[in-house]
Amino acid sequence: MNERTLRIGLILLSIALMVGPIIAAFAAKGWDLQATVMGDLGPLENLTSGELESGKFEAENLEIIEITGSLIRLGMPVNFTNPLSFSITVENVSVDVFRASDNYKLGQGWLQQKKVVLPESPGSVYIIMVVTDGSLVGALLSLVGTVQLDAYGLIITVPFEASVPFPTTIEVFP
Amino acid sequence: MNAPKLSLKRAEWLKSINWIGVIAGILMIALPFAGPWWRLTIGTEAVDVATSPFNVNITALGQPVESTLVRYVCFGVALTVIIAGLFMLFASLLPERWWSKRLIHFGATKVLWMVVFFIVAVTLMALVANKLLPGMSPELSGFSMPYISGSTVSTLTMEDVTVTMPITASINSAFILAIVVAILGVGTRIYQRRFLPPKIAEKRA
Repeated sequence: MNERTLRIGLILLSIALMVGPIIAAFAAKGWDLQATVMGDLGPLENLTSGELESGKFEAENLEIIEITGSLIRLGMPVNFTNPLSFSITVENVSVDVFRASDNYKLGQGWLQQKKVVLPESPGSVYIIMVVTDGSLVGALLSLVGTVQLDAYGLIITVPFEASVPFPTTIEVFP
Repeated sequence: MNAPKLSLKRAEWLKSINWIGVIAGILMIALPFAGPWWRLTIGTEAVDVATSPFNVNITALGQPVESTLVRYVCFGVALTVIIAGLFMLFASLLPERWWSKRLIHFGATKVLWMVVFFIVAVTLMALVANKLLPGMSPELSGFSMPYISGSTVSTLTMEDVTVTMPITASINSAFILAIVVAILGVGTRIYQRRFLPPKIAEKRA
């Protein structure tokens, strides 16, 4: 073997080490371009297919928690179904409370405590609101705000809107 | 009479060894097992990319994302560097052999080019992400990612939904090792060319 042969041998080795794995990869996947290059996107497909939008927040009836002078403390369970294949945390809810008839702002609401909603499962969170007008019996309240969800450190902010009637009977829940 | 002759030969051989090449060769063989060179994390663990030319590990939302092509190509690159490292080692231990120059030539700049290519690829990726993506659609207008190392917070808006994502990029110690190996590889070649003991250079001629 002389130097020229060695030189050619090393060039061929370089080519084989470069081209060989590419051919082997395509052969392993039955010469399917997409399967070879892309592989499995896993749960990422969930996020790109807009599945999150199918997770709806459904407000239940208002409950009066406390009445202190003209301040009324209200509570409201909100149901949410996690459509994704991984857990998400309801981090925060921030709502403004309006009287639906004239859009007069009555107060604000927030999340009582964070809640982890398991994959493809329903969950319920509790929103606390404080309104300032006591003459609301039977009135329709309009809630407008946002919900913040945490999925693996990504903060997803989605709008929240609901219309709920003020309780017709004053019953204080402890 | 034979013993002093043998030890003289041994001393001559030890003197002739290209020690830079020996260290470079050993480190080249170890380099593919040193771990990822660069890490990119989106969120806490939403997307985690730990990469080097020898391995690309992508985890999305706790589950691995795999590409057969990337896995095989990385294996090919790792095999190339290990073979080049072995060639460097043998050629540096036996620099008087006719094939040593050629084998060192084969391995000396492999890691250097990988380091250069890696820096260019990562910078180019960040450049494309920062300069082109925001202009492609209004949803991506708030996207930004760090160049090679650092952190940013991107905000993507899709209709009513806003996604805020912290992005962190960092260089790992394996990348520093790769730079050291690249420098040693170049050093090996320079030593082989310029500082080879005269006897060996004469033999070659």
